[in-house]
Amino acid sequence: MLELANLSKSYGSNTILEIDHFSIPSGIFWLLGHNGIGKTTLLKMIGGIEPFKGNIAFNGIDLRQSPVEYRRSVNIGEAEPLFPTFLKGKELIELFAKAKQAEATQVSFLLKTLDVHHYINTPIGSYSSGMIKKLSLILAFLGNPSLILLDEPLITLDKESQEMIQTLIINSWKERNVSFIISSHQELPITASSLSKIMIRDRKLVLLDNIINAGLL
Amino acid sequence: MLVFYKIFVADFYRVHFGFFLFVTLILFGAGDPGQLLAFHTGVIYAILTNSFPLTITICLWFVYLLKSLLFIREKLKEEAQQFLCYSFSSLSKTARMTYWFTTMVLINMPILLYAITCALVGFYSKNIIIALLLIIVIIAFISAGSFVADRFFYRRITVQTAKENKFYFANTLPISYLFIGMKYLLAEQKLAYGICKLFSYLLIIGMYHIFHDLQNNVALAAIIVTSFVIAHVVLLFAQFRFEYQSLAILRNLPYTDNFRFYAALKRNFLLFIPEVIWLFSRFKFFESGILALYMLSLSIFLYQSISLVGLKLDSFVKFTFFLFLFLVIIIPIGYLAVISIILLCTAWAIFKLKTQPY
Repeated sequence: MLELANLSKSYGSNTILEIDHFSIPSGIFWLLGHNGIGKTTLLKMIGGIEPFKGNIAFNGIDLRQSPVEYRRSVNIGEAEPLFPTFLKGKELIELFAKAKQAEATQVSFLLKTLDVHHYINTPIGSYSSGMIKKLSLILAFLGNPSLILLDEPLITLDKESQEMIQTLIINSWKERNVSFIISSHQELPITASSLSKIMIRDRKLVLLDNIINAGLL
Repeated sequence: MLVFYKIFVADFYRVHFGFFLFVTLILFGAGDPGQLLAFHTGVIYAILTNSFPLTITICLWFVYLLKSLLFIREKLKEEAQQFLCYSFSSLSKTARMTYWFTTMVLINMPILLYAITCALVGFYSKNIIIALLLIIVIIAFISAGSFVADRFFYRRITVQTAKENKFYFANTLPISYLFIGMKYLLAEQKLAYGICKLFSYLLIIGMYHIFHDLQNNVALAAIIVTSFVIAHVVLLFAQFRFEYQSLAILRNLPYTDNFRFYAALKRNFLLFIPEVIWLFSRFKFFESGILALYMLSLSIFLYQSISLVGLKLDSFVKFTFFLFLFLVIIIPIGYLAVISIILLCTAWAIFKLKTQPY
């Protein structure tokens, strides 16, 4: 379970997130909200990339108190990943695999599944946006995370790769109980029974069912 | 042209204000005011009549040219300058080259004026060939600089990054959190690194030439160390920006704070290896150790301080200028080890407070 407590984030005097307390149980969650409302920022905060005020804990592991253990449990795939252009995709995967303690078989499986073999030994500067996206998704799945945050995972991917990602998500959830929080403006054709929707509204995080019940949508 | 002037020319002089002040003080403040004209006329005659001063002068102009090109390249990389890619790419190559040539003339105005002065003295003193040579060299430098600046611009708009990967020594380094910064240095900062090392060398030579009676003075050595660490600000800034922006995703990796801070410290140490070697070859072991500690502490303090100024090069340069003045005042008092430890602890505090995402 992901616990957010007294969480806030401001850019200058503009507060974009103010969450008193919110718990997200295991499952696959679709994070909704219009452009600029703070979805990417929230995912980066949970992923330990963006500074914030307040507390974030996953399965009782606090990001502030146990940052290493927390980061082994929580992975992130960014919407617009920015990687050093002079590195090869393979080098970045090696670095992440070592840090996230991923097994060689997992790396091979992901390379094969996302069909990146033919360019992974070339510098990232030569990749298209779709190729960079695939690399970012591979990094997000490496290791043994219990929660994976995916920011717009389907954009720039071809239809075949989109289906692969959806299969990966569902299988990770079913076989290894990996939870997901996915931000996407595209419809997620995930049919898992545990798919729930959460939404950022007025700087707060709310379950969409609660919004519908309250007649706000 | 006004846009080019504001972005490149005005900013170049603003950012390098400290450098120009330093050079002006050296050229016009170090000697007897009554002898200044005779001194400078003597220097110009030496340039015109002796090949060694002439070579040194042309080398210094070349360093200045490289520095101006480096500045343009860094400016073009800024997000705020991205609009240039859309607006100026529609111009013809001739129009673009005219803009760049004018920009390079304005940025290189100090050396251009000096070259013209030398040439006029040359014509007056019948050293016609050398005078013509100086004019040809300076025009060639500025023209070549304009061409290179336009190549930087072209590379920026075509995102020709794959080409940069032909570098090969960088590929031999192992992939690790520590060495990514070094790979970046070798792949994209070779020129900046070379210029910084040249500045270090010139600072050491220049300072010991001016203060030749203080060859073994540790305080003077500490001021020299301060000068060459501060001469590396562009390099440190680029390293920090690279770590903060291009390696943002690495903050999701399960590394401890100590590991990250220590890695930054080791990267800074690697940057200053030539200077560390110089220190240990020049001073006694204990003094060298203290000076090396001070150098490392100051560099990591500067590195972490970049987060205080919000990743703005202009503000960082101003900050380092005032820090330099402050250190030059307090270093002669002594307690270099204490200053080093204070700088190191402050760097750690800034790292914890400003650069960590919690």
